[in-house]
Amino acid sequence: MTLSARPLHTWPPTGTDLILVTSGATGAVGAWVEITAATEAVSRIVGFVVTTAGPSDISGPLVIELGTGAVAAEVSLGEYFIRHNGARLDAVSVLMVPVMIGPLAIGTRLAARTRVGNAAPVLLGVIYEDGTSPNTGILAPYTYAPKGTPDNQGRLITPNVTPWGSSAWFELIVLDAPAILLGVAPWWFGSSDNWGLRWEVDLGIGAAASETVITTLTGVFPNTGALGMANTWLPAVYPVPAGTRVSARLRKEGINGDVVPVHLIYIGPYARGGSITVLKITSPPTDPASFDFTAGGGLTPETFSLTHGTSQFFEAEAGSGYTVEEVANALYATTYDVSNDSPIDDLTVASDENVIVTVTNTLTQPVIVVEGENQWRLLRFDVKNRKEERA
Amino acid sequence: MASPQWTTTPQKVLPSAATAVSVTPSATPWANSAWVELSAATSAAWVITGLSVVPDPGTFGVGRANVSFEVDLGVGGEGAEVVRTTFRGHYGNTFYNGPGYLPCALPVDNVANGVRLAIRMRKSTTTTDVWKYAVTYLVKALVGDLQVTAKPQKVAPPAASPVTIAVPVTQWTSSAYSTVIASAAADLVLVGIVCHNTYVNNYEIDLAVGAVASEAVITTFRAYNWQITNPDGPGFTPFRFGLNAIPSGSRVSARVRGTGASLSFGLSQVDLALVYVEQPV
Repeated sequence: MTLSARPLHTWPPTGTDLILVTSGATGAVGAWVEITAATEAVSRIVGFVVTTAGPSDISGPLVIELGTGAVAAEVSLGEYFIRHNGARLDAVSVLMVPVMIGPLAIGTRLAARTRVGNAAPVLLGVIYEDGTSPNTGILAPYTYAPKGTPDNQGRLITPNVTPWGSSAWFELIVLDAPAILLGVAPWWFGSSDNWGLRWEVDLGIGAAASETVITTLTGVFPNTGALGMANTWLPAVYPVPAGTRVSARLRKEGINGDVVPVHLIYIGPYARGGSITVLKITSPPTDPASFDFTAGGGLTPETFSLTHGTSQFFEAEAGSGYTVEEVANALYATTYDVSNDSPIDDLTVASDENVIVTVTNTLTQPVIVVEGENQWRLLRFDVKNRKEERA
Repeated sequence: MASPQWTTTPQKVLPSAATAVSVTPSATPWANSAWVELSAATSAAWVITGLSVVPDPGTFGVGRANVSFEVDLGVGGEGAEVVRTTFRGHYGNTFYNGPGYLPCALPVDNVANGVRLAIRMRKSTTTTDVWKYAVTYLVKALVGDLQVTAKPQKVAPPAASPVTIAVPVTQWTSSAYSTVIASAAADLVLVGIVCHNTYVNNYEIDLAVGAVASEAVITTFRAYNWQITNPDGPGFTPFRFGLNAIPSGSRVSARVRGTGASLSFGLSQVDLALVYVEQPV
């Protein structure tokens, strides 16, 4: 999270109803509808207010596509996927997006179009902040996977019928460009057997049968006629390089074996700059000592301190010549492990690579342990001969 | 341009691959339940990222209406737990409504290695059927660029029903301001809003700081229809880009306006609570 003192606003402006956006035929995209004719300030979109306009309920996923540009010449900013199955009156939805969309320059015309499984019309508002802000927004397209079927029910995962047993892995996408993963949207559209049950979804990367869990998300299956949406975001975005195969597996309470549709929501193609993360490990891990570091080659800050379990992050342009060095401490043996095996005095960073430098300090000198309830003062401790003198 | 905040540290769930931990609420509204252990000893220093909630669903098809609730996470030995953070949400109806997850918009970094982690709850009603909880967390050290805080989430009004604001009958006419926080104990970062309403369609909430009759709007939150629900949890909308606009000592108040009271449904109101973190984060 980046903090901001900027207020939130909504298009349409105060005192007006939400904007009616009509989807196309089943699963097809509708016409562009103007959200604002011209932004009055540099703006960053942070979320949506969305509900059904009736008379039909929304059935299946809702995709909101934003675009900029003149009428009939709109350029897509991406598709904002909302797993939404709400009934007409109850489908009340505020979706705050995990990554700001923007900045949009002053004078930008913003439009939206939607598609939804049953072509239900939608009432839409777009929440934004404007003006000078420390917040980071990006304009790379939001999107989702898998796509394809008219009603777009996603990857259908067959659950393990043993409570909390993991399903098999199901491929969601093989990315052809760098991306950042945002979250998943699992849904329950079967019988009532799963209502109110908690689920967990592991996201994994790697080849089939060699998947590695990169994160786990959890939530609760609502009843199908009830409120809202099921987008579940990661605590922060997860960057992955081109060629990454992303899969999911599911486990849940209960023994119902009906399939559960799951979508992956991500932004891509999107390549970050490179970065370096310095991790501190001490042995024993209970050692409270703090260790001082210097960083060079253009990294900032140039000095920092770490204790066990803490880390220091640097953004870094792709290149080499970066350095990280711990100030020597005679009580500890120090080892460096660099994730890409580049030397600690000439670290190299590729575009979209996070180099992890793990610095481990192992205590090599004896530790003085003071035990007992009596108060006493240590006058001298002979480390070599392990003799102590007390008062 | 800087990248958005990110981490490749895996999020984990406790309990994982198991039924969530049961907590029996107090029969007294807003009285604390007993603490229930989540972990006898944490495996490392943890950063808390959210809370999964499975409420008491009540009678099938009926549920339990209008329940505001708070949940504390605490560390320490039995009988000596210290609150590390607090969550708040609201169910207009608990009949399997909502996706049941309350994220920490600003992850909470104050759970040390090897400590006992426990949970307790309180709510606005008198029912005593169990609610179930699981927490999500990251194991330190974090890989990536992610702002966290050692400060706990706090809520306003604490351990009390939300502030109720009547929506004026005249369309898009603002109500009077109602006080939510009489005097901020520190500079505050707003990380989320808990609100629900009855019988309103389009409506807006202005949050403001300042003395009575001198309020200055710091943000406007737009919503729709009977109750807010969203992918981020029961009645809770996180401000994923924390609003850092409440100075220490300020009075925080709110007003609402909307399409007015529905002729079909009668008078309408908005109920409101705030979730915040004290500076410095």
